[in-house]
Amino acid sequence: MSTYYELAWLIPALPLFSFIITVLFTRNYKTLTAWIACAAVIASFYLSVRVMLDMYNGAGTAQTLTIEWIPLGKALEVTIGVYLDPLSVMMLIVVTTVSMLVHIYSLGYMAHEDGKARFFSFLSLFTFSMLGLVLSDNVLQMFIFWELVGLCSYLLIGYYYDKKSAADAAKKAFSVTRAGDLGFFMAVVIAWGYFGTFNFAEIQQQYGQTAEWLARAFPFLIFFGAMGKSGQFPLHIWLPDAMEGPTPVSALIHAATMVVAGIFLVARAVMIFAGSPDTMLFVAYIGGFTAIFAATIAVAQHDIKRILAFSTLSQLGYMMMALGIGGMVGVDNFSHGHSGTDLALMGQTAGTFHLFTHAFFKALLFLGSGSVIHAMHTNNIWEMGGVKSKMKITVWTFLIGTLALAGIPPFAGFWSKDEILALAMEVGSIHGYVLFGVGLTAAFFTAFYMFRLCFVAFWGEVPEKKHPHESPVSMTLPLVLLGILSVIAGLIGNADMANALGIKTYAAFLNPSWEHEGVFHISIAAISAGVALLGILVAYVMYAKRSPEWTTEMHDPLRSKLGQLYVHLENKWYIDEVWRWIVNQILFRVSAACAWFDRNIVDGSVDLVAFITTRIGILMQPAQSGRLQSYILIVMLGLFIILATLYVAIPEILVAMYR
Amino acid sequence: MEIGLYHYLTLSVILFAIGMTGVLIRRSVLSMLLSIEILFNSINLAALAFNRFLYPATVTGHVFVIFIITIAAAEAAVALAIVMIVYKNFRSLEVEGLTSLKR
Amino acid sequence: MAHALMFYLFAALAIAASLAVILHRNIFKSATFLAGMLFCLAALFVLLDAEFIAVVQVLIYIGAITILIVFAIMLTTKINDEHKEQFNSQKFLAPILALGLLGLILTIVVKIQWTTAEISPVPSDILGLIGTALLSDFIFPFDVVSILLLVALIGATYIAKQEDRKPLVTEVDETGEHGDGKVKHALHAEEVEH
Repeated sequence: MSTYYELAWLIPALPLFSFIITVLFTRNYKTLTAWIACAAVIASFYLSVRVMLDMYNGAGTAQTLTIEWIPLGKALEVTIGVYLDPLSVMMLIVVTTVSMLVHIYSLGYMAHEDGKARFFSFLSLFTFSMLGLVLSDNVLQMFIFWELVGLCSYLLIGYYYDKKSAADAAKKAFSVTRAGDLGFFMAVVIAWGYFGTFNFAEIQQQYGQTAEWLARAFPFLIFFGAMGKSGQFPLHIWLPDAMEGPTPVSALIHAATMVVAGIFLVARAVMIFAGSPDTMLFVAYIGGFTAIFAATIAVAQHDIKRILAFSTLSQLGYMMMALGIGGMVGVDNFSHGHSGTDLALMGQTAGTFHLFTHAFFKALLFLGSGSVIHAMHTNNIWEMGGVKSKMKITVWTFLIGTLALAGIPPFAGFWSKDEILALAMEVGSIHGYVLFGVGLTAAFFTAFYMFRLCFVAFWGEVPEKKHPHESPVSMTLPLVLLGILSVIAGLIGNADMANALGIKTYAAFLNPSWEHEGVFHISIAAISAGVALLGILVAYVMYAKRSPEWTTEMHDPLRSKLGQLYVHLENKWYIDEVWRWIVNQILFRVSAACAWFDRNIVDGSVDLVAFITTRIGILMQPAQSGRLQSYILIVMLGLFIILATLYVAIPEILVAMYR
Repeated sequence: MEIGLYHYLTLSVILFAIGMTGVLIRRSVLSMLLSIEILFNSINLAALAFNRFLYPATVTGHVFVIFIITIAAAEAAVALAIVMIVYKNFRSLEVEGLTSLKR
Repeated sequence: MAHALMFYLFAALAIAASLAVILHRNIFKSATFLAGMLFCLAALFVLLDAEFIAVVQVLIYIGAITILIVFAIMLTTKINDEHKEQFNSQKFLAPILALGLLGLILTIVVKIQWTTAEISPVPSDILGLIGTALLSDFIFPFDVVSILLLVALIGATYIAKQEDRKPLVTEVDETGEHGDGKVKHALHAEEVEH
């Protein structure tokens, strides 16, 4: 085992130290706090890269640290471990890279904030939690870090806690993801109750011999947790609101890392999922539906960050769909000459590869949007415009991100999205074709709304009274680095490209023992690229002549073309309203009943005990008179009673005392 | 009838009961102190009687009595000091009035 | 026979004296009766062949402790205290309890078969034995008691010397100008009567 494997525990520990130090000691020194947090995450990044290189050179999967946390044997055995396998190392790279760049970006973006120290402390805590999550080898540890990232998300969305909308969004994010966490927690309990272990590998070994209902329920409950965290329909409603947080937070947590925790969880447990094809079918359709559903909403949004948020939802749906498609055949079946296991691994490869590339270009898009917001002091794309010539670096890197997201070759998103579509065709069957169509449609919408965003926000002329200027270098440097990554990250997914560069492909890295490569069909690639180009073309026709008169969302040329449909899209298909109705009409009524029960029955019985105690106390009060002699009298009475009892009950004992 | 252990013990117990009654019923702190001295002495008597009739060859009872007398002296000194200060503060030695430790 | 006579005599006197101690209204006379009771017990100690203890009893108990108490009585008590109620509200309950405890312990004492078959004579050099025992077997308790005595001495001095404390009930001055309530006037009247 290599040295860097041994040091892997430091990767999450460094941000944790940074958090502890900054929270306890350097709260009043804003700049120092920021630099401590940056230094910690840069060190983590360096270690992650070294671990990744070791892994790349064949150091293999390893459990490098195991702490027995609650060693209660058969009753409960909880370990905290550092588990290094290709999947977790890939996540390490994603998390530390994006986190590092976001930290650096925040140096510029948050420079004049009063709460800068708090912000960087929370960023450190988040980085620690996320790294702890990806290094987990067991369900319980993962659940703990899962909740921690949820907490950090809450804290950072509510960073501007004096703003009501931010505080509400934080609460919404916390409670909606918590609804999903309930399922995950039930899965954790089931893991211990029925499998007797929290360890993923051990659960997987036992999976063949479990009862039918358990084989279905366990992955379903895990997926329920992933739905909450990764914003799958219908638990997606918190993510757009989460954009109330500072933009670097949106980039780090709500685009690149935390929201993909659900994908990571499903990918980690993919072989368990593959044991239950029904669940996987469900996963695939939820993912596919989310992908197309969120993409349509993004078409009619006006807040630059919200468009990106819906885009994130859509891409998360893509990833989930990839995992689902891979697993829905089932381990024991074959489809088009592929075994179910192979397909599940292909799904894992495709889903996590999209996760990998998406993290870079979506973080880039968010950071770029932050740069623009910073310059224009508005989130509304209709109030922007004309920054193309003023903020060259920001706009050009943003365009790279847009092309990557839209799926234009050779940018990163093209390769990963294409792999998912190719996989859908590879699996075949009616579900495969349906989901292929869904993915293709979503790709069209993606290209369209992203270029709508670009044309409206960057083309045209600068509105009056706005003086956009390029952001400082601490903000543009991460943009450039992420831009480069957005171009090249996709290349490792394709066997030919990787061979040309002389490196292993992503698939070979993720599953060294598996001889398959990621799927790639030139015809499918051409179709998907064509669809994306079509989307760009439509956007170009509609928005390229960005008029300075388009100053509010009412001027959207799409509005007149779509009519009433546009309003539905603008209102996000009314899912928020549906939830509000459910919460108000059903949940609150049930809660009211529970509250009544709690207040009158539970509290009542407690009050009764308290009342009885009080009455007894009042009854006994005269005994505490403070009068010495009555105390002595009572002592003597006690002596008398003890002696008399002894004498009556066991007279021998008094004789025995003498003997 | 020969005077034996029973007689002395009986006397000791009677004195103990009298002393206890005194402690319990007198209102004055000083009277309580006097009654406590009676209690001490009833115990002294019992100790010496046990020593004389059960283990005449040893002197453990005597040693006990010496200790008890010493402690009685110490107790009397402290208690009387307290009595003085209580009297100074409350102008009274009635124990029923002393229900508060403050001042 | 003489032993029995002496025993009954002193026992009766001791009981009578101690009853007087707890029942006499005048606390000074109570203290005097206590001295008498202690003297009777000293005599009983002699009957128990504990001459040294009897001497100690007379010297320390009667000579020191009782005198100390008498001093305290003289410093604190007023003559008219005698006319106040001497007994508290427990004056009926407490004797009953004491009698019950008396009966119970006596029953137990009688019930136990004490091994008093033969009474051997006491050693002649009892004083030497006491000294040896104090400085060998009982050296630790002996030390503890000495320290306790020292602490009690210092503590008693410290407590009694706290003069700067303000009395809770202030003395009413002669003019009565500061008297702001009937209570204090009543106290004043009491002082005068005294």
